[in-house]
Amino acid sequence: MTDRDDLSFSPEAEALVAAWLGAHAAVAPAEISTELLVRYLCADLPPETASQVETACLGNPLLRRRLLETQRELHALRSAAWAELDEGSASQTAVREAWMTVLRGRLSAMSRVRSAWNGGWERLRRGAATGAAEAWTGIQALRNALAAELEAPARAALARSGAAGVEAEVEASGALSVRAPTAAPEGTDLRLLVVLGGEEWPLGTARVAKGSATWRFEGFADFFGAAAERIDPASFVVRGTEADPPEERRALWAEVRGGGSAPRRVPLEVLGPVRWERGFCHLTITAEPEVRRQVEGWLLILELRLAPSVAQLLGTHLLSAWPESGCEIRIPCPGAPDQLLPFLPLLHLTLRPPGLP
Amino acid sequence: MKEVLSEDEARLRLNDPDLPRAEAAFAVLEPGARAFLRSYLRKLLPEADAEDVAQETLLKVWRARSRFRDGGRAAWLAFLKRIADHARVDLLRARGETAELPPELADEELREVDRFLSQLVSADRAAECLLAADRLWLELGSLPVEELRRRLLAAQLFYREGAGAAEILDLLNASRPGAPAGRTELDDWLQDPGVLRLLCCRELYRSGRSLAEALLARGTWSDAEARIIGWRLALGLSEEQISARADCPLGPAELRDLGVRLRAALPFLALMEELLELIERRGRIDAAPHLARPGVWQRLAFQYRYWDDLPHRDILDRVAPPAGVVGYEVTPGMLNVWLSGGRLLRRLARFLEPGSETR
Repeated sequence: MTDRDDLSFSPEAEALVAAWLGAHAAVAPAEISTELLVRYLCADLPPETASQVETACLGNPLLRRRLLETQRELHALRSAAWAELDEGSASQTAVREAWMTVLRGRLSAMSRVRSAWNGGWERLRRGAATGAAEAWTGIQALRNALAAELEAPARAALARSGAAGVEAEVEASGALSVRAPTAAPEGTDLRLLVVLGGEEWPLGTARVAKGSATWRFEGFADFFGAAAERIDPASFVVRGTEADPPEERRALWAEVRGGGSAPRRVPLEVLGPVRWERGFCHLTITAEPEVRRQVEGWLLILELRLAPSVAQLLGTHLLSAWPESGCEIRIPCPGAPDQLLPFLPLLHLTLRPPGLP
Repeated sequence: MKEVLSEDEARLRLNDPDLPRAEAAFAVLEPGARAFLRSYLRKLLPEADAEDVAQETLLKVWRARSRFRDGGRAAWLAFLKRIADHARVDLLRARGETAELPPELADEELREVDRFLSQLVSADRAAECLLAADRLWLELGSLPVEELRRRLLAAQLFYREGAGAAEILDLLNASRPGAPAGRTELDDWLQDPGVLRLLCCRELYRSGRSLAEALLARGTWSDAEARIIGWRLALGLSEEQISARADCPLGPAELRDLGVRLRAALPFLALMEELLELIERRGRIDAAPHLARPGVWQRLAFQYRYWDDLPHRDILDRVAPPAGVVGYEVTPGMLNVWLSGGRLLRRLARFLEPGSETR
């Protein structure tokens, strides 16, 4: 202890401080609505408001129980088909309304997700730091794609056209560093993209120097965790700065449940855009003949995964007749805004035989 | 567009000769001043008198505003306190009671207090001040505030609300980045000694009002006893203050008997036993050695002293029994050393100083 520690307040000074502290301690805790709890659980609040919710929960056991109850109700809503969201108990009404607001908001933000990625990783990262929904949805699309790739059968990755000799490394700071040899002239600007299943995520641009280009993306591992270290170098594609026409055929892994010895995941192709129009989600899928035969009469379960906490079952489709030209699927989503799905991996597909729970 | 004044600006403008400017300044200062005066006077006077004196003080402050020279937040509070002391002494003397004015604070001490209050304000007032107290006394390391808060929430959900690990992981992962990556990391959070100390303090602390409500809800008390329990716990009046009230419905012997029964009904020992049992059952760990640390009990004593303005004897009733459960003895002498001369306040002030190594 120093001499200063031994100093003490006089009783008068102590009374002054105690009264000031007492006056501040008497401030009533913030009122936490169901909407705030839902938005907290969906990571849809600015950091300072999320802190308020947590602080209020710490001091209030009843609120903690409400938080858990809300989480359970939210879980039930996410697992119900979109068209069934209107049904439910009265206690679910407030949770459902708040959830639908969050969901519609995230759907509306989807139109900005492509342009958020087109600005490159750094801009996207800054957007995420400010809580921009389009930035988070864009990041989630790549997370979903990387997770699906990691879970896919060995040596069965979706179409890749990566650059030769690419070296990628995640630094201790969490930055992703990528180096690619190139025959492009010195001083040329080259774009680096991650390409998975025909979907492209443009990370950024670097200038050619001494026969190679080097890109560095700060904070990459903070968003993608261990998956950042496991990106196959063949998924990195180097291009000039000219714009690319959008891919017409994109592939997506579908999870397989049941079906005995069938593989746990099979690739499906999605033809054209996935879109919401007049309260329906539309998409057309096709697959190799062998896959089509295997899942004939099965159910295709479609789920939207916009964030770890913002996912919603859209509905199911019976694959009873699947022409070679493609199976057109139409799922009712009443109240959904008209919109295009910006990245296919935001959609999670599951195949299961009928009768399986 | 209407100008928005900060409290600092309002203090500077309070003695402005331009009346509308002074009125605008007073409007900014008045809510905080009223809360301060209520907090200060509630222990010195019965509730109705405290309210009257607070109101009268505010009127006098407005009339005396030209005498106020802004020397910071502490100078403002000292100005309020001085006028309140005069108003209180006048009231008591008018009733024929003896009352002395307390001494004024020296300028040097006012500057010390002002520095301390400024640090608390920059620590975002009461909630953050308590978090700083947690850090100081509960050996929490240098984790960011956000993560501390989430670790405690996880522990409360797991130990107190019975939530499953998967449920907590889902909730934390969903809500914010920086959550535990999986079950192993969550277990580390839940078994962290600092988090257990934090949990213990949060679970053992009871405000006077919530304590009164809990005791009245489960005990069989007469109406007169219930009234006194309200005064004693919710208003924080001492037995002597209650006994001196003209409207006290019990005699001295009955009051003493009620005091003994009330002390026996306090839930702190049972709360501690229940918490230890929950931690052992759900977390499969013996938390007692982690809780038998002086900081845990100093932290609780700090909050009871400065949040609830409790006398030492009442703090001892809340702190010593649960401390004994984990094998730590809190004696009246120890408590006196901790609390005398605002020692715990000073330690927190030192801790909050910019550049403090322990912060």
